[in-house]
Amino acid sequence: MKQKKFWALAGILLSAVAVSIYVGRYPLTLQDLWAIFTGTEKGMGQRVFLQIRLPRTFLVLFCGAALSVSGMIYQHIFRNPLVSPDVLGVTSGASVGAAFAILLGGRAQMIGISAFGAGLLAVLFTMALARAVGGQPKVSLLISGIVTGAMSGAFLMLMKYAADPAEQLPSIDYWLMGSFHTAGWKDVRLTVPVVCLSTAVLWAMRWKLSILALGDEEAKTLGLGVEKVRIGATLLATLLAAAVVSVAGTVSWVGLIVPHLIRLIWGGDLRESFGPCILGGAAFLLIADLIARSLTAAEIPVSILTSLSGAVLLAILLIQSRRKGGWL
Amino acid sequence: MAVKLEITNLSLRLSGREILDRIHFSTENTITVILGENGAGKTTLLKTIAGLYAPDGGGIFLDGRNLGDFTARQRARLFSYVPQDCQATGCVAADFVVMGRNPYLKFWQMPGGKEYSDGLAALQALGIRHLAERPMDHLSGGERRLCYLARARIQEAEWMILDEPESGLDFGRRHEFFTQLREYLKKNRKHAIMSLHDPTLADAYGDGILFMKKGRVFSFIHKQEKDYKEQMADSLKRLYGPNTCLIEEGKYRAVIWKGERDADH
Repeated sequence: MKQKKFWALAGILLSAVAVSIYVGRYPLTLQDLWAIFTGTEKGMGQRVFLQIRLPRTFLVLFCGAALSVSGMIYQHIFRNPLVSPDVLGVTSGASVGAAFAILLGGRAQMIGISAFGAGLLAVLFTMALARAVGGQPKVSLLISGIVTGAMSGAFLMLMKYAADPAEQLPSIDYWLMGSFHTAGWKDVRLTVPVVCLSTAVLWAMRWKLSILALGDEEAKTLGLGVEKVRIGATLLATLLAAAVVSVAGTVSWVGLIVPHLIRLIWGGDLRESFGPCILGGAAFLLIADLIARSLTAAEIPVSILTSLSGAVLLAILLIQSRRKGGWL
Repeated sequence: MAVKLEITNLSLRLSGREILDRIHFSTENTITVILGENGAGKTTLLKTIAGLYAPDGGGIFLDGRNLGDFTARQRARLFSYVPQDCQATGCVAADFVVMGRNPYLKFWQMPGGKEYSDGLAALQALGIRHLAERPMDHLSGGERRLCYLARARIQEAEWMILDEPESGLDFGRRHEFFTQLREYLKKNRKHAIMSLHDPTLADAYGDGILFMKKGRVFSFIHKQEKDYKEQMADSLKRLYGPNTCLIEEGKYRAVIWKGERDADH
């Protein structure tokens, strides 16, 4: 049964990929695609396909998977279904980094690197603060995340205030909304290794992580280095989120809603839900991006769609699970 | 393999309150039982032995080796722990039980066929093989406790630490449980230290009985001692009050409460 659902999900993903490389503002017929594949077409069509559509599809796939795995790991570690990569301040930190780079007149790549660095820095700050606060690690980490988020928010406002309203301010705002419209192979080259490596290590840790779900005390008596596993997994999940934010800006809600849906179907055991979570995240973001770039003549930021659909889905799920006597 | 557990002047404070006050004893018994009033520090003592709290003074030694120097992984091969409330959820019983093999698996290793057949054998031995595929959330409290015990078995630690293992079991099952546990421990030369609230069970199955009051040990008596019965009766009175009586019927003993009752009038 679960196997069947897994293949259904894989089918959805593959069709989304097919549509994504086929559909776009520059019309490509199936004949053109065939010509590109066989190498006979070398004109504009080939450039559009190889330099724009293909890298974008790749990037969106990996970013979707990264966000969803990241969210799943966070929700698992904090044993809280409403937690997403944002809680430790990675998104808000990255936003500050990006805005800073924009203010200094940095180019796209600079903005990405600055966002990545600031996102990680924010998370490290959160973890250090949590350590200083002490007490229950789960709680103190969440509270420290809120503190970091608020501080980043203040810095961001300061930078927006200082920004040149004609050019810098819109570009900060646009960055904050998140989009893949500038995606190229260089973004793929930056992101994919980070995503693959982090995901692979988390995958290898999935059994240890499911022991962690028993609670700290029990996990410890089973010989698990609880703190090491938790911090390691948190950092890897953060790395995933930061890698996405640095190339695409803030893409909200994917990390919250996809793991949620997956858990409903495949259950809470990481060993069962890890694979579906990768595919589900990739499919969700790819479809959202597809709609974002083909709905209107001008592309709309993908976060508008992920937020809207995510929020609606969550509301439906909450109402349903409440009726069934679920977890909230 | 006699493995001597030594607790030397162990003290522990939790949020400023002294919970354990210079606990000092050593034991090699198959079953060591801790009796004590509510809040005497029994659970805290067991958790400290399991490595969940770092002592503020004194230490815990196993054959002379200080446990404070051990990693969680090394410790888990020496001590298994079954908490008072067995509340694990989120996976099926078999998946839960094989987690007991964690201290023997490398970081990237997952439990495989060997671990699962061990796990199923442990479930079989406790008479709950049929629950293997059931989610933990759907089991009763007693069944869940048995899953924890199965997990502790395949953890193959020298010492089992059990916090009120009899709670949630019916009268017959309790005695069945202790008989089985004894048999298992003897056969595998393992040991158990546990807290109990039922002095009759403590007397029936414990080789050594440790009495605690207000974070301190006030008496530790052993069954092989000559005046065991007198000591036991005396310590029970000190712990639970003068109404506590140890009575004998042939080779069986029970602890009863001789107090005012409506039926006596």
